[in-house]
Amino acid sequence: MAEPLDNYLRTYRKKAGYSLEELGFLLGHESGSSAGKHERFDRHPTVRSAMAYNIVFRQPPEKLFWGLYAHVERETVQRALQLSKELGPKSNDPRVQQKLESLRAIYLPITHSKRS
Amino acid sequence: MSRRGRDYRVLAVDPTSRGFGYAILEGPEQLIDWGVREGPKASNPWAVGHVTKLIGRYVPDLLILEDVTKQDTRRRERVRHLLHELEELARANQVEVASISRRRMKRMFASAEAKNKEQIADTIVQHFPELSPSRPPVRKPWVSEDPRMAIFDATAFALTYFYFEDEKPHAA
Repeated sequence: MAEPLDNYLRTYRKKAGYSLEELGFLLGHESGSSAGKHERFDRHPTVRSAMAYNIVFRQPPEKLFWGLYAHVERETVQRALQLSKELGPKSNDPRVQQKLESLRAIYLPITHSKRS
Repeated sequence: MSRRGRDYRVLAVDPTSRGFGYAILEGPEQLIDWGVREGPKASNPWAVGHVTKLIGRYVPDLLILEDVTKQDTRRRERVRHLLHELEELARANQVEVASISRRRMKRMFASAEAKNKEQIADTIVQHFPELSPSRPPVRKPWVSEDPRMAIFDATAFALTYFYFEDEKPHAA
């Protein structure tokens, strides 16, 4: 089955009825060129543009950038699991315990949802 | 868990006299992209080139085309060649192909009380309101069909695929 697309910006733009030029204007760009590149997956938006997309389309990043978000989530969860192992889960150091608790908050919701 | 067709990303293409209409769906409830591509004159290589770009961008699981193998099809020779070329293009890109007959599509929509092209287009607009601006005015008999109707034909074929895929028994 096909992976989710990196982003669904074109879908939301067409649903809203905007041209690329109009969307570019809303994003604060000089033209629709950058928005076009985002839609074609040629370039990722800057943080500022990603925030603007969220505001323009009223959708959270995980919906707008579903495929990219899923990819980043997978990699980040993997690194959180790896760091947990490296810190030593049985350590009595309260600072380590605090980090381990923070790391569990990263990976537990994901690993639990995959099992259910 | 077995793959289910209704979760697929599908690209449906409907040729017109000068190009094609298309619709991309992820399941029967999510319309991802749609549009018409028209050139200055009918050209199969041109159309194949543009469908190639759509396949490259969207990496669909399935390409949906009209089944024109039946003898009562009203499609021209050029369009039948184009559909065959698109089938080969899909297979070359490891994309499955589903051919849906117009008769089957009409039967599916007739069960929703949509008995002609105009009513089918209206039914599709109710399902996907974002297509409302693309809906051409009701056609007068002396006027050629608006190329935008190909968007609705493509969407209709895709929805027909999902409808019959839903009716199939699936492995647990």
